[in-house]
Amino acid sequence: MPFIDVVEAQYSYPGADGGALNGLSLRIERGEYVAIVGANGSGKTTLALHLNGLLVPSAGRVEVAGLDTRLAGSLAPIRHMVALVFQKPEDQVVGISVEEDAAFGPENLGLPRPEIRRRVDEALRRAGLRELRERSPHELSGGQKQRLAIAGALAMEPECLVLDEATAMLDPSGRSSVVELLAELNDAGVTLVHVTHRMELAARASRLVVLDRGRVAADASPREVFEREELPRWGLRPPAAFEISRRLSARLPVSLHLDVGSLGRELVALARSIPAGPIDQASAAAGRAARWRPATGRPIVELETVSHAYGDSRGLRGEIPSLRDVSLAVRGGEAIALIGATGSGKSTLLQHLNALILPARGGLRVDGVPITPDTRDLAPIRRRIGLVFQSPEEQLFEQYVGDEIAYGPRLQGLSGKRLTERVRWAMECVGLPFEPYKDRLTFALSGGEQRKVAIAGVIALRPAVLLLDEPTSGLDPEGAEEILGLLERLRAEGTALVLSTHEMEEAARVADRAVALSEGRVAFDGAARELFGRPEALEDLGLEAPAPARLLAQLRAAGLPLPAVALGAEELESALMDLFAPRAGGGTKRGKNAAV
Amino acid sequence: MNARKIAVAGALGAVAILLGATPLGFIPWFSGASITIMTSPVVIGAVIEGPVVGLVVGFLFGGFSFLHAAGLFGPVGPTDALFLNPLVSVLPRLLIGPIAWLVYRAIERLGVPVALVLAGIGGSLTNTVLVLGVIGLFKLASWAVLGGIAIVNGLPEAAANAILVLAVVAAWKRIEYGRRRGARLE
Amino acid sequence: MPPFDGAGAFGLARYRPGRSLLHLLHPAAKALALAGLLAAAIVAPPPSELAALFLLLNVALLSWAPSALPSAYRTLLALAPFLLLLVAIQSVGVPSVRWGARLPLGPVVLFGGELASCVATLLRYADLVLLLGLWAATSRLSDLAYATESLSAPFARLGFPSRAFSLAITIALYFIPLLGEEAERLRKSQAARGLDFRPRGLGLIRAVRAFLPLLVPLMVLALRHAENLARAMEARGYSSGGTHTRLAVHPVRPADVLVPAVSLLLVPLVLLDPFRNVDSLLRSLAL
Repeated sequence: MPFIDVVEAQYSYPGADGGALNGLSLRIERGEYVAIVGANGSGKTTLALHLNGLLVPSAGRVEVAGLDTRLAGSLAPIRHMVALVFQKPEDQVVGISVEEDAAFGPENLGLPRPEIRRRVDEALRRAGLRELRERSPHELSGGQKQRLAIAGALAMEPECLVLDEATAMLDPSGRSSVVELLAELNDAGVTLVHVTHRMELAARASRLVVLDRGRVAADASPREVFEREELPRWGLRPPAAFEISRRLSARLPVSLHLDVGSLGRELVALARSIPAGPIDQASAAAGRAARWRPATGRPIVELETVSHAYGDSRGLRGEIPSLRDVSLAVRGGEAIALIGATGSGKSTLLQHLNALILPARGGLRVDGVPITPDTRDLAPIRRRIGLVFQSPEEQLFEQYVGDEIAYGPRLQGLSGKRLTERVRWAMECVGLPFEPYKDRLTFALSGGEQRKVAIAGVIALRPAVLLLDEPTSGLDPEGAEEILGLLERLRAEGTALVLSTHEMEEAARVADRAVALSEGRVAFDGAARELFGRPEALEDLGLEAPAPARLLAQLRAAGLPLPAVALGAEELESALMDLFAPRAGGGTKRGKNAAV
Repeated sequence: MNARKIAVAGALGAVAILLGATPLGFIPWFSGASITIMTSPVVIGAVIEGPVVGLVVGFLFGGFSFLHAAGLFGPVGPTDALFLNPLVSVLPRLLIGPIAWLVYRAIERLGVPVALVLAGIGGSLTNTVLVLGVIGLFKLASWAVLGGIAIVNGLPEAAANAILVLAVVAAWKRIEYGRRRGARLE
Repeated sequence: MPPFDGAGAFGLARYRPGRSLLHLLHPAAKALALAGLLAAAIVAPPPSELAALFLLLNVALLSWAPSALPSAYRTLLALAPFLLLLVAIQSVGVPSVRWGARLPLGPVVLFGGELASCVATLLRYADLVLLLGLWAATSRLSDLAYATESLSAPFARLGFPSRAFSLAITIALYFIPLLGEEAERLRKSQAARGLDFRPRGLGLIRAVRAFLPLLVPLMVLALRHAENLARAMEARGYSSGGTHTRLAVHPVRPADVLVPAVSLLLVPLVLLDPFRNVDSLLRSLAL
């Protein structure tokens, strides 16, 4: 008998057209580590909610250890066996202290007190939260809160842990702390079902289930699934290491890899196995790397040795975000990635750039004019330098999309035709057609559409500089892709961009200048590709370099003569071909490579 | 009470307390007067999740204003003294939710938006009348003064709360309201 | 509107850590004792009982939570203008207290009885403020939920949702600082779109509308949090009416019975007015 048995399950949400699950069947055995992936709307979350009876199928059945989830009497034992962890860390807390929160599940089971005590201690120890047991959950970081949610689930001593996008809201260090915990749990025999849209995480599972329109489209090992050619049709992309190794394998004797480390080791071994001496191609490749020149022209907004400390000594999250002697100038048409770990001061810096916070020490100048607390009207400055906050869709309030976007321009004094034209322009900028969308109910839109409306609401002020705080956080790859495309278009139209992010792939794609913050100081300010060529520097900042950059660093560390700067997978590939092809005594060089 | 009701009661209770503890809950009007909108989370709770949730949110709101009057949450104003009596601060607030819910249920068939507006007015007036009524019974102020307050302060407050209840519940339940359908754009 | 920082502006914590009798008292016992004393202070008619309580509270605060005294007196000072007005309304010119010596105070002539009644009113409010200050200084926030649950547990059998009630309190306490931070973020993000909160003219609707960009998203966020949380609670086995146990259990000691018993006895005692003789002595003496 399988541990979890989903048989021909059907489910549709009230009011939605089309089912979320359309006859889905899936079996999961004890001790497995299953990743569930799929495009937006493929039914991943709906399936997760079925696994412990939070939803029940309208047709077909779901059984856990032989118990049918539709029977009221089996719900308690099923929830005891299968625990669920959700996406938002802050929405899973039911306790005044860390310890009491972890005890919530066992209390509901009606266990005797000594047993609850033992389980809570054990769960907190495994989640690495023992020292924080008496803290208020509010004081924990995102990663710690998510580990608390896992501890709360573990205290139920479940046989199976289901995670629904449980790492989506975390920064890289929070994410890796959760992922490491998962691996330990699986080793200890806990069955894991991880719903995720990050292929790097999915690749860690032993089995990968692809959902497509409410059905299982593929169910095999991650490697086998990534090799399937339908992958793009399912709205998926293989992990970066897999993609790079596949491209290389077409021309080099390299096998397919799921992670950067093992690919790098194979490449190093390959290089050593070829007896020829190093070839002087590396310098040529280095010369090809486009030189970044700092933007010139008059800065639109400038910060000069700005320092800022929050007055609250309580340190709500155990850290006081602050800035120390930060100087930064943003010029027309630039695209700057503002990077740094959580708490490094990115958001505080953005809020200084559009005068939401006035510098306590140091100076702010907009178009050469100093801004001080005596500056009478800050609204024109905030229009010139627009700021999109993190999760901006949460700020929406108007009934209709058109009014929501018109809110800022109206306050500016626009009306009539000019207002309509402005709204139309902003909506088309973000890819929402004016006519059908202007009269739609704001709150009936999807999350991704709402985010576009919120961004349009800021763009409608026609800022010369657009600041964005984590513009893709919490979105699935498709939604993130649309936002990134939008940013590229805005940039092409001449809007200067400053975006804070901890996703380096994104930073690399949109920005050419990088400013790294570490504990409120500028740790780096220069060409983005230069910074991404130094994964160890990024690691010091608590961040993870893009996969090609990590691979490159690994190869260089092993002594291979490769350029220090390279960004995209294509560039890396051609650099590797330059290195290997002559040694291997052949290989088809592409014209682009030969041209140097 | 199921998990959903408990969570909504807790979250809206937190909103009511936040409105009372920060400038958020006091809309400045002319000549320095301000309108309080603390009853709106209570009404919203009652309308969305039923009278018991309204009662719990009202209890949290009332309990807060009682403890607040003793200076436990920061500086107080002189008139807070009235709320040191739980019969003034807690008891009337317990009834806001249930009465708003009754109003809503009675009028719902005439249209949800109308029912929301009237529930907002009903909840707010319950608060005004009962709080001032208890103050009057305890002879803490004269009826003439209290009547004046009820009209000058109570009526605008009822209107403000009605607007807020309508806007929030319509957004949450995706209800269209108003004569004009669509954005106010040419 | 001035910027506010969610939990910062919200001075929720008046707790002063310690190990006094009151600190260690069972939260439910303390809540009962508080209720008894509050009731006694509200019903006590003459000033002598109120004065006795006032002295007692000052001594208790001084010995168990001295750092809570200044804030209690600051509160009293802030309430003072209104209290004086109250005193004037309640005590001056009321026929029942027009007894005793006539005390000329400028153009007004006060009776001794009126003065005594004034003092009683002032003391009553002082007692309430000190009492709550003492309770808050010796109680953790989590005690609030715990006391509610313990005290209502006997009614759970009659169908009262005792645990649900205390969970709602716990959840509210957790959400206050979270929503406070979110409110601050909303304020800033609307300010970035040009919003200011200056009221424009007399229009009520306009004044309220100016606040909608802040209040609508805040309440919708609260509801969304609640929806997610409800699902997480169910996933962790919460069901209404289900049996449950508790990790944190406060042992009940003799003091936990004694203290509330004494305090609850005070109500009928005060109504009987044991200090009657003292008061009449005062009356016959000077006033």
